[in-house]
Amino acid sequence: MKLKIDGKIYEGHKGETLMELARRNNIHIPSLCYKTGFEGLGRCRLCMVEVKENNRKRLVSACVYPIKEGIEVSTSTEEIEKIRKNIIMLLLLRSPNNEYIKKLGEEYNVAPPERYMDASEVEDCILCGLCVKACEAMGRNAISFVQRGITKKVSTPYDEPSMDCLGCEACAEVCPTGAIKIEDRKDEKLIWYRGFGMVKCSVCGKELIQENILEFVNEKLNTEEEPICDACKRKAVASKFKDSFQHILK
Amino acid sequence: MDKVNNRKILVCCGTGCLAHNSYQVYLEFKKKLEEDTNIDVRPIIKSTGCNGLCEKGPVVKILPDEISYFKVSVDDVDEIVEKTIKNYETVDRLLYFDVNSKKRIKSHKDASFYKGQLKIALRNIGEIDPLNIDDYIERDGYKALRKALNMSPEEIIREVELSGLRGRGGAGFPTGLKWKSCYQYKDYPKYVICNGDEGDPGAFMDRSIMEGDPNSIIEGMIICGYAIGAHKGFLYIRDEYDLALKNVQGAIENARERGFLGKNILNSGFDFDLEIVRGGGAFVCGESSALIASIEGDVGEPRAKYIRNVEKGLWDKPTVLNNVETWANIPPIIINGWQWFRKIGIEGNHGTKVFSLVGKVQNTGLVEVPMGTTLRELVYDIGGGIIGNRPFKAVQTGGPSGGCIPKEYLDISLDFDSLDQIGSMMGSGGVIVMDDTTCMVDVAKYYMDFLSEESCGKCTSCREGIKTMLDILKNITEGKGELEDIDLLLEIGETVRKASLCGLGKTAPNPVLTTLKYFRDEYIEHIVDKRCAAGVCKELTSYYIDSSQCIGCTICSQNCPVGAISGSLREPHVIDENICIKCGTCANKCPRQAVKIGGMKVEA
Amino acid sequence: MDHMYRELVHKYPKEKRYTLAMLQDIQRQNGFIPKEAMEYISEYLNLPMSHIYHLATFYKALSLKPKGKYVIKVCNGTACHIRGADSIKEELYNILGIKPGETTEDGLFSLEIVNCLGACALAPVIVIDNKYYGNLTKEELKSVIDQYKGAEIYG
Repeated sequence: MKLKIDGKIYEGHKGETLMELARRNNIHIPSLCYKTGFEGLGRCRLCMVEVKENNRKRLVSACVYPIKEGIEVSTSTEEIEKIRKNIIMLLLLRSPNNEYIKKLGEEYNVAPPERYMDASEVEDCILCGLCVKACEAMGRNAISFVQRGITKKVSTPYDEPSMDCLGCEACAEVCPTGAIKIEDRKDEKLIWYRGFGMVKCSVCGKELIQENILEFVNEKLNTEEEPICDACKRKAVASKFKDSFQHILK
Repeated sequence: MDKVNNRKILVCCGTGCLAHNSYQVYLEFKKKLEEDTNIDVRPIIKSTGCNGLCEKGPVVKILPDEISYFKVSVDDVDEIVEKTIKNYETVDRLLYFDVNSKKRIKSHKDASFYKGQLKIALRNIGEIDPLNIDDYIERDGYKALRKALNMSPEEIIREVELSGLRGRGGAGFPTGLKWKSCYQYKDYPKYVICNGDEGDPGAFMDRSIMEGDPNSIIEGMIICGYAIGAHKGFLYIRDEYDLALKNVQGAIENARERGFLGKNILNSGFDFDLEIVRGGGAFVCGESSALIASIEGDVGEPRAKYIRNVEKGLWDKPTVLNNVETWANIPPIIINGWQWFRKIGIEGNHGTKVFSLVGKVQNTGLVEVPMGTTLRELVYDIGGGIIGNRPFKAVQTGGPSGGCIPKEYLDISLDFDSLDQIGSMMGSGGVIVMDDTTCMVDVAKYYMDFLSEESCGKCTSCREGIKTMLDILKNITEGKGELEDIDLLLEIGETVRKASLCGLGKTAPNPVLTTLKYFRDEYIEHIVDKRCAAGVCKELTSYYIDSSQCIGCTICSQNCPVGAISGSLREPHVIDENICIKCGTCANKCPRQAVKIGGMKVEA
Repeated sequence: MDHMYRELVHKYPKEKRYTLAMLQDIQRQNGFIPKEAMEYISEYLNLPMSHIYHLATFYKALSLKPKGKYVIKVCNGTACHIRGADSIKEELYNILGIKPGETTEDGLFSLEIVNCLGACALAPVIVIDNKYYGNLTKEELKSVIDQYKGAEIYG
């Protein structure tokens, strides 16, 4: 189906969201909670755009709005810019010391009211929910949202180490504000209150991967491989190759 | 002789009257009548649902005498049996005392509280035992269902459409149009849902219907199921409503026994059944997509509604979701026809609306009036005016999604469109009356506080917007406000309204925006003068005695709980501000209104 | 521990949509939701523990902490608010020494602020053990609390 975005005509298919179509065509619509590969979450509200449908204009969130034939979309109007600035201001009030939010604030020229800024606030999480989705995609569901309203947060049950957590770091990978802390300690990594023992490369001794990820992989693939780091693996393959090459030459 | 044979004693056992021991009154009647052998015909005693005038409960009605007694205690039962049941005499002191006419009234139907009312949704409440299905049947119960099962789905939908019925839960969406849209989607199975998650603080219309006449809801839902092609319905009932849950469950079981629910209803070949889902204590679950998520086993987080529930609702199937009061209106519309309903009310806003009239009003309770009734009629004629004859300040309608209406609009018509136009909202029908002892800034703060816990927290604009607006309001009410705060409230409020995902977020700023619109001076007084004229915001209140008006009667100093007032008889009294805890007792008791409210104490 | 919840949980089919109902039954029986109960439901329904925990912390009808024998619920509906719910809260603090969310040391009373109970005509309303009390003065409030204290001593 065909629709207009900022005056130009684009092609899309039924079931697609505006955000998916925009990303495909390199049209910029800001977002914090959208990530390609995941369904739109509609949480951050930065992706609000104006849609004209049957002569009626309204604001919708692009990441969950299913495209329709003949609609006309404006990705930036005075009204929309104002909303974006205010959303960022609210995020700055929540996370005044977060690098990513601060950068957004500069980009959109946002100055939150001083009286309501708490310079000592260290909250990084903006509750976008991508980490929860990533954990779900990994099949573990170790973390979820907890509570509701202004005390809502993301955590493991009882804020305790979860046996469902693999320590795979997928959550930290997708987080748009770097809110998930992975702490490197001697022989282990601390993720979501739990220490994961690190397995070392059997050849060079470099820290390789979390113990239970290796266990998980071995179980799923029904293997019992020796843990070897990439560099050592390459060396091993290369030396095998060298041996057989010489053998051929002879 | 018929008169005697049909004698009934109806004891209200709605939540309000139960709180005043009405169940003990009911038991006492039973006991007295069983023991007493001097009564020719045993009157039937029934425990009924809420009559609406909860403040004057327990309410006892005698039929067909049409006598209503109020504030009946267990000790009054003897006298009622002796005088009224045996001798057909009234016990005058228990009759309703009408504030407007200053007379005692025999039948509640003549009381000004009830006279202006037209009961459709509340037609049976207070007249039947909700757990006795024969009571319901006697009053045209399930007649609509019988008629509907002999109509075609299209005919039924047409009746509802032409009646002009609009959703009574708050949004006012045309019910017939909703049913028609759902009917057109040929995707099965379909579902019918009753939204019984009445969460607006101050509203108890739905509670009353669920407790007092659950069959009216059940009948409405079966008719809809038949019309749209659904065979299963859910009643989502608020967790806090124990009695409603019990009575709806009982009514469902009774209906099944009689063949109104289940397989092959009344030999029509149509199957339909109902299930109750108990809410978990979340106001947001009153929002339709959150309610559906809750039934599905998730938390009550709303979803963006770009695809409507009638197309993809419960488990992604076509669903009709309506409010309790909407369902209760369906059977009368089917029985009496759309023309009858359409004639009531005004253009575009047909039928009646049930309001819960509460707050600083004389007659608090449930009121059902044709739409188009003015606010003045509701508050003064029916409500009996403000308690203590204090000046009217505002009413809050629509709960946390609604707005306040100041006295300039007392003659406004109570209907969806008129209220929308002035920035308020009819909402579910809660009407909270406020006088000069209510602080509008405090009211705005109260609603933001409520919403900060009830918001699901999903979207940034609602969650962070409400939190920030609440912080600002706290500052203002604690004497730390600045003028820029008003602009901030307006700015953030607009963003919350435009960017939020669901109805809760979109309407969350309304109490703040409307109080700012109509009571801006009060905000400025809090910010600039650091004074709360209503005496509610404690940091901005101080009490002092105007010596020119004080007659030295000592009533204030006698009643002061902390001994902060000094003065001799017939000499002007003085309040020691350092001891005063600002409870306001002195101001309430002073016969000369000599106690005045000043602003925040300024440190010397 | 398991057998305590078996009956309650097994009453329902193994479908996600009954999770809230199971949790409420356990709440009613126990006064709160123990961790073991959540784990049992998680196994029975084959749903992640984190999902059960999310439900238990989202819905206010459920609590993770045990409550007092008598839960005093102070209604915070609008009508109750403007008719003095705040002074009831203050008075209860004076009498019992607890704030909303807290329980007295002897485990007798817990104080909760609840959403509108729909008994607005009786504002301000408190509920103790499913009994509604409306429009209480400070003296009446104290006497009601004393009644419950008395019931504990004298049975």
